[in-house]
Amino acid sequence: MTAFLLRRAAHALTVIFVVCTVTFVLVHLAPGGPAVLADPKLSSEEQAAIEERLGLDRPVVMQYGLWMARVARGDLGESFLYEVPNRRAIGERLPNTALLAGTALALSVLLGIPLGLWSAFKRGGWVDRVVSGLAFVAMAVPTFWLAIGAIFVFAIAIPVFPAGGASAAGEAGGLIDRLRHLVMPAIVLAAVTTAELLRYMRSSAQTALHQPFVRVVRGKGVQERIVAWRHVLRTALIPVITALGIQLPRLIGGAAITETVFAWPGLGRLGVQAALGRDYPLVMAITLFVSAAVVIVNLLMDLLYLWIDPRIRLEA
Amino acid sequence: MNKFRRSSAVWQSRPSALWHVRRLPPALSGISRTLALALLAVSCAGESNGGPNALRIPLINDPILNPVIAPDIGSVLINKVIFSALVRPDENLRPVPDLATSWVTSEDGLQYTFNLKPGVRWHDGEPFTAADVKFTFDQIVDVKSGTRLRSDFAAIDGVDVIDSLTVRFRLKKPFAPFLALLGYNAGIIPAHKFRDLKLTDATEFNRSAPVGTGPFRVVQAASGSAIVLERNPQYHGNAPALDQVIFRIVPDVNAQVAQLLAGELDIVPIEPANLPSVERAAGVTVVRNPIVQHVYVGFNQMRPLFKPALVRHALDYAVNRQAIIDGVLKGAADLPRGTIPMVLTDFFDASLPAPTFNPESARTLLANAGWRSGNDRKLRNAAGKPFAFTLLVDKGNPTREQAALAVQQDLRQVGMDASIETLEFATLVRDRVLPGDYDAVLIWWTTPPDPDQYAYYASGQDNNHVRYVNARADSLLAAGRATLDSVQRRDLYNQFQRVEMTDPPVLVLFYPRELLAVNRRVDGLPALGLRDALRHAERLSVKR
Amino acid sequence: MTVDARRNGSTFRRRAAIAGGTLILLALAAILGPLLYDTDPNVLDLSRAAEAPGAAHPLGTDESGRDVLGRLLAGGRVSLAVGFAAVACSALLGVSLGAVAGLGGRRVDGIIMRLTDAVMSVPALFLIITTLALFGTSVVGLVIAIGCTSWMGLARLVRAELLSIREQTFVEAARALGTRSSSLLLRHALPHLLPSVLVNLTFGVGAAILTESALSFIGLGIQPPAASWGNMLTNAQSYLYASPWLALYPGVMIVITVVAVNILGDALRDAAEPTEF
Repeated sequence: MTAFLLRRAAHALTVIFVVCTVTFVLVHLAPGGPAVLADPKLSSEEQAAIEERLGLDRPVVMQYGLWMARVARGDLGESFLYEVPNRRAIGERLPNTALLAGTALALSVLLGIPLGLWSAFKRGGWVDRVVSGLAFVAMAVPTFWLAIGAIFVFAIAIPVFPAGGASAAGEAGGLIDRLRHLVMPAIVLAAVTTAELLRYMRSSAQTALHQPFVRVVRGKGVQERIVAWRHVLRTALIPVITALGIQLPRLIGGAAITETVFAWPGLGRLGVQAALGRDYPLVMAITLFVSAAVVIVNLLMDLLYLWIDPRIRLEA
Repeated sequence: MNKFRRSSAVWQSRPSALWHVRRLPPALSGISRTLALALLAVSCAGESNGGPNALRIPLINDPILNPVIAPDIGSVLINKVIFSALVRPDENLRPVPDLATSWVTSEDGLQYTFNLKPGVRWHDGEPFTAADVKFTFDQIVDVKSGTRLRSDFAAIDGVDVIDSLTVRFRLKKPFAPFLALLGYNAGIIPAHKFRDLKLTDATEFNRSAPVGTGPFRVVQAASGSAIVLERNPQYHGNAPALDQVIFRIVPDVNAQVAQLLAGELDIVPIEPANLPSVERAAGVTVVRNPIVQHVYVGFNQMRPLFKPALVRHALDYAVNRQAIIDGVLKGAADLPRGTIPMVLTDFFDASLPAPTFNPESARTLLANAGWRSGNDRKLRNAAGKPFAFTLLVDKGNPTREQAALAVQQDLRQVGMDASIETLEFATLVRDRVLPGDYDAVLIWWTTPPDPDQYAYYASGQDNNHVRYVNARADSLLAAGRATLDSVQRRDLYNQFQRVEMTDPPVLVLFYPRELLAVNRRVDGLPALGLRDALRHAERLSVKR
Repeated sequence: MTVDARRNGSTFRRRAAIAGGTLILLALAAILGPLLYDTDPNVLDLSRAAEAPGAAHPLGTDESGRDVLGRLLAGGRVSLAVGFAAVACSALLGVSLGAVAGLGGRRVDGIIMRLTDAVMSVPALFLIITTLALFGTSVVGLVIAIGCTSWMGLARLVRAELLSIREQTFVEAARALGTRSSSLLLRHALPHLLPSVLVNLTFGVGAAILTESALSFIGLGIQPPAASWGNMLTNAQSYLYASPWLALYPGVMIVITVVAVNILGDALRDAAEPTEF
């Protein structure tokens, strides 16, 4: 078991290292330079001064070495655009992203898993057909279209929810206020994830349902409800957890477009603006951070597998 | 064995008997009930801000709260509220006292002595003195400080503290725009916050806790979310009417409009494309103020195609500016007469005729320059080479993109083959415009409230990226920059306008008006562009 | 069982027919559209901006006075083309990398798997946005960027299949006889893989179309004035509160196309992997 964990940890570190290097190469291969140098009023003297201050005039290999050394120390560099240490820039946005991603995840788990389970049990029933149909459509709807539509309908046409932001700043923005701001972005973000989770759950529950052990359990006269929740669910969850693992990067860093439309102060939006502004250190820092987060969560999910499926534990 | 098979057959044919269809499983019904209640509570609770004594303005990005190193327009806007400067522009864009009460210019124009307001305190309570002014401008002219204002103040030789309330500027040569520039972006920063600290290292100051002398001071800065300013009780001018000014970070202009319509923002700069959406809303009014900006198509005069003045003069006739102003800008612009914006009424000669749209004249002039259209209606010179070029425009701004399309279509009518390339602004400027690697570019200059355009259109100057060369224009611009007498200056710039009629440095398309969508509850907004209006933030109020 | 299989077969045919038919209709409209419906989708007419549907313009005009129907057709052509091209690119990458990993030794396999994990750990959209923002946008770049972030599933599929076949006895036998194992494995694996690969690619087209529209929406995809369903939505945003239907058309087209593609993929999967009971 320990050997297994150590192997996985080493694997995780390798992945992070690869991401680190590839991001650096990508960012420095990009033509042109940072947007801070793109002011039409800068004289060549001022440009040179800025380049020197930001360390852009050093040879690339040296910049790479410095970058890796910094990362090893935990220092993620300083942003060109904001003149702030990147750790601070990321740290300030992280709670917002965590809140949004967490809520969306919770919503999709709470909705997707029970509905998927039910659809599997009642295959062909009206719930199955309606829910599957909705899921199909939900997976085909572009997130930004849904977001714009939601704002149009629920913030402007019928003013129920706020049109954006994470809170009404300046007021004593209490819990209710924050919740109001959270509802629409979380639902929009959760739409696709719920649909996918639902379908995964449905198909894997169906597979599980036809395992011999289910017949045995039913034969023992166990109530259908308990068959569903305690027996089938556990087996069916494994592929679903894999699916969750694949969804996770999308929720953590890929919510950039939802965050932009809803003006949600998250990491995704920060990353996109950093990329557009060629803020090299910030781009590298965010990519590294997000991929490290995903890798760590995957590691944790491997542990979850061990707990859920005894067969894997024995194998390991 | 038999028993089981029979049972399984039973299950297969009647599974529904074992699963209660009409009732949701308890877990599911519990969850959905809670969710529904929560949704209901959350949607009914809380009212959007109808009543607070606060003004809410959007920014696109987290600002850097330091006027000396601030690189983007958003930072500039918010810094105008936090930091006072020596002077500020009044409703006619003339400099009036702000931190300085009066000033004396020496005969030769090389020395400016300012008397400062007594009793002014910084937001942290420390007294404001001439030493702070000296510190600010020492930083501004120091290339290594990260300053963004150096080119504005390159004429400064040095700053001297005469006494705690008197400061003197020594200039290298007479510089007429000096006062206007002092009131433009040069907010004064406190020397005592930067002892042994470089401006670019002062993260706390630049991010969340700046100290200025303006009518509002920062109390809260949430990254990506909002910067909250509240009234400065020790403000040295008239007491501010508002309790708070809140700058919300909303990165997308359409999201800004959505928040304005939902009542969560009060003043939003919009594009003409947003006008139809905004004009319908009952609680919103649209303000169109002229600003100190000219939007133009710059033709690279290093390319033989555009070097002859005749060609550029012809181009002036070939573009239908009125159609662009009406169609693309929905009327929110003025017809140009040269590069000096109309709003500088002290220096603008309005008697000059506006350029007419006359494709025939254009074709005649082009023929004189050696370009004739053949059977395929394309212009070719004697060697048979077609008049073809690429027009660059920055990406993401529908107004400029549409204007570029309109220009392309107009030029096609006279036989020119213009293709459009959109580039991200930073790439456009850094990789194409600054190195001179382009044919034509649709771009603009926002200039301080002063007619001086020496840096942009005098030959060999840093910002003359179209490489315009005209000896008469050079002497006029140089003289205009050095003459302090306003009557003489006016005459010089009028002559410059005339020179531009026949040898246009660029094809000026229009003087845009800044479109502001304003919530009707806002009161006291000066009829200036937002960046100048915010210098009078203490006058703004909201009706309750 | 028999009852279900029959139902399964006819359901498949019905679903595949609907989905396939829709897609073919869309493709025909996109390709033949300009021949039958002759409007230049890029001609500006600012005086007729945002008109309601009328005789000259069956679906009205957009914010620059351009004909909406023409732009929808042109945009469809572009979106479909990008979708298919990106999927082809990812297929190339995925199959070849998966084959190399499955056939090569443990070292090669390990390296390729680490690379796969590394690419999977960064959110795809974020990676694409960063790449396009840094390197500039172009249709080719777009196709490559989308292709390079969606090959991983296919690679794993191919690799898994190759590895599992390897263990089988007939391979050992063949090797003993001197046959090159790699060509043997490929010959046996590929037909087996084809259905799953096809399913994967079909879903990939839908995903690629969604990604392209998202990128065009934020300005990093198809550049104006060329039409794409995504950038039609961008421009429609500013007119949203005055002419909301402008935002409806492109979104509906995207949904229809992707739903059709997904139904097709689902039907293919049911036929290829008869795990439905």
